[in-house]
Amino acid sequence: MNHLLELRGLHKSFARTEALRGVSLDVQPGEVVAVTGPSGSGKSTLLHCAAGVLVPEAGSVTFAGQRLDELDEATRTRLRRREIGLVLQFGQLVPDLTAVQNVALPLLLDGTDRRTARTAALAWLERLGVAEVADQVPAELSGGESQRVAVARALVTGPRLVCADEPTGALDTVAGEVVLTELLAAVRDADASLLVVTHDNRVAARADREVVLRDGSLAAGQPVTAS
Amino acid sequence: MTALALALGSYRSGGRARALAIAACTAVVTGLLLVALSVVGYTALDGVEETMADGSTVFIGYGGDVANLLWDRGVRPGYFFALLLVCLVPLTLLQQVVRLGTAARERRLAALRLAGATPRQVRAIGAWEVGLPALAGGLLGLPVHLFLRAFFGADATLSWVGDRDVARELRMVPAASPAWWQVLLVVLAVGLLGVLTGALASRKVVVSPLGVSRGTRRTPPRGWLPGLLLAGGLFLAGPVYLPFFETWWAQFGLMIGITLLVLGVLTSAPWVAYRAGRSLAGRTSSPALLLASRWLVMDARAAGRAAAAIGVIALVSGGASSLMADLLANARSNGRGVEAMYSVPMALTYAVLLVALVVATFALVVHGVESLTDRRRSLASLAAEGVPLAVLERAVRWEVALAAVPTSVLALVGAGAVGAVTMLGDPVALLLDLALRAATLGLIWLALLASTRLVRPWLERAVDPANLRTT
Amino acid sequence: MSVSHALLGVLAEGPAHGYDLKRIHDERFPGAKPLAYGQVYAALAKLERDGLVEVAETLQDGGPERTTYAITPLGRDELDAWLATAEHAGPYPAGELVRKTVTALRLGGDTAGFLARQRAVHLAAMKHQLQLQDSTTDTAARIVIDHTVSHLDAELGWLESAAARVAEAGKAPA
Repeated sequence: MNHLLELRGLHKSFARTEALRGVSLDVQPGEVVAVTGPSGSGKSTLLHCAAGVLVPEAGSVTFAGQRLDELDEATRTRLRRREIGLVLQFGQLVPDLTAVQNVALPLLLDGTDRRTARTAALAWLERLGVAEVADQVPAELSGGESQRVAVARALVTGPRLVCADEPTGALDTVAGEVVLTELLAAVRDADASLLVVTHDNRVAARADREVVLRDGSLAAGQPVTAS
Repeated sequence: MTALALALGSYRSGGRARALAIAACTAVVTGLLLVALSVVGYTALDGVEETMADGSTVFIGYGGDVANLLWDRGVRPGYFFALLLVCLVPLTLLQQVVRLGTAARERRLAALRLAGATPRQVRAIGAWEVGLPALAGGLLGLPVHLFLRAFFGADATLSWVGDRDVARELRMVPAASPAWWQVLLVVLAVGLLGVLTGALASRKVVVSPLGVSRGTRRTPPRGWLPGLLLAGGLFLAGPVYLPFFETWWAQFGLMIGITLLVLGVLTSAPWVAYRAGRSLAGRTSSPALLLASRWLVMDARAAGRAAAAIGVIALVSGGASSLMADLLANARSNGRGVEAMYSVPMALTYAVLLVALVVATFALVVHGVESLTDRRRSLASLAAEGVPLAVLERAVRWEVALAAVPTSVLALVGAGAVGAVTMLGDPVALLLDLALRAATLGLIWLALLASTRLVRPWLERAVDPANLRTT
Repeated sequence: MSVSHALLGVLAEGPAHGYDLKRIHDERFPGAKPLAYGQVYAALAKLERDGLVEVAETLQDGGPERTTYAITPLGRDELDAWLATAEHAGPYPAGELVRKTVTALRLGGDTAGFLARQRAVHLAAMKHQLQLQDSTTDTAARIVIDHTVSHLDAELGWLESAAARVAEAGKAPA
């Protein structure tokens, strides 16, 4: 078994709702998996568990052979910072840091010196076509630019897994397409895997495999094979 | 190092007002603590004795044209204790100003957690954000101390005061500064207090990188702790010591008792606010009162903490009223006026209480601004549905009033029930006592009105339809 | 009528013969079914009969005869009128997909399984369209693909709500 990510029997509840009721899912190295399903089906919760942001009440999250759910908060955060990139729908950038500082942040938190971190961050911004907004703060960026900066930040540490929650959800079709294309290309170039939660069929169609969540359980899983 | 840089980053983005307010509060605390420490070290005149012809030694009087509070060894501990109590005024405001911009700061810290900052790193950022300005305030406390010394120092001329006796009683700050290591210790302690406060303020975000979920109901405040504190305080500060009043342990017990009472009032305010909200929410038909009481039921702590200082002011003012009445009764029975050694400290007490009330008003304003910012979405939708601004303004006023008034009334009544009984023989003194208590309540009500008037611009901003679109 | 109008649109940019017409048309509508030559010549004949196009020139250099067509002023008017008219929005007839689902549901068959398999087919079709779209930079071509993708998206939406309703009905006590 050389799954990159192994989710087994995940359960997670909030207040009085059971968001996940026994979900199991594997992600292979280099695989792009889309998680779809109606709103409130537990998609985001599943993604947060997979990314090590949330810990399930029952079940296991194994990333590269390591049980994420058994690590303490600090160790899990460090692992997440280095190995798992995260892209959310919006609002994940630190508001008072410029775009390039935001991208450099995971490296700085890891103890990389400022100059090296900045160079790496600029290279990623360049690659995603947003180098010209490097010194602007998030409030000055358009939705598409923000998301591309977020993608750059998710990838700057060279993660093996990228988790994206509705990365195009707050964007119009055209801007969303640009972000999605860049995200997929960057993930494929880095040989990373992508777990993407989406209600956008266009995003799901670009995945290697789609899994459908309904009421906190997996309803169906199908490979998406283009003819 | 990264944590420090990120903490500094927050001052650039809107955290400046917060940092300045923190520094101002801690500067005043430091100044007061330095005065208190120099009072402890004030032994300059204690040892002036003279050997008599028969070989016995007597004090030749304290000489020194300084306040009774300073030269009377018996009163000095009480003065020291009072100075510590006065520190509560800037400290309660500090507790509120740390809240400034909470929503934005929590979003920022959550974003940092999401970017991979560990809980420790985020706590460090939160701690620096408060710790650095607190440390700066600690250093600014040195000039504050020097300023107090220049105006109220034992060696000040105070030529602007007409009355010689009054001028003497105002020389209440020792001319000598505390030892350098004491100063250093105070500054570091104040900085450490800031660091701890900041770490505590960011603890909610540490739990989840996905941010603090608002709207989830927190456990209501419980009444057993304040109840215990108040009971202990009443026992220790009670009249059981009257026969032994001169003994050191009775005085010590009294101080502990007063401390417990103050802590009791501070901690009971959220509970009282919660109970007031609970009992009113179900039976009022006034929309403003319904809104205010439900706000208190959902989160009584914020409003309660903001109003707690008002309760302590009422408590101290109640105690002071008893003393004033007692002084008047004595003056009337022995036919002389009130001596400066009593009148000046009393006047200063009331001056401090007035300043404290102004500071507490600002604490309420900070609370108002923060809670309006938190609730802007629901306020905007209420306004959009046609709820008049006046109703919302009344709800804002009711929220702080429900949190402040019951506690204040209880404190005002409680802190004098015993004294009032001894006053029955002198109707004039009793009348003064009652008048002072009534005036206190009136001023507290004015403070509440002023605070709601001051937050009105933020209420107007909160009901802006643009807030309907913010998440 | 629509193929004729699309051909008129090609001719409005300049005269062309039948083979070029087919090629340009197919390039303009990538992902759609290519036109048959017969379709092109039938349409041209009808357009010529109505006076909307005319024969510009007939070449015969050794090979088969090649007739070049050009748009007439009347044809230009017709094209402009067509462009200025909005299209009807439906009604959409129930297709094979709907008929199959309803029948499966009535018979108590594995509707959920069918819907899931159908979803995979639709997604695969969409993936193919998106790959086509990625490979071209022509705006008009991308717009054409957007149309197909939007239709697939609508049907995927329908498949999803059908699956949700089937799941809901399965949960409720009979």
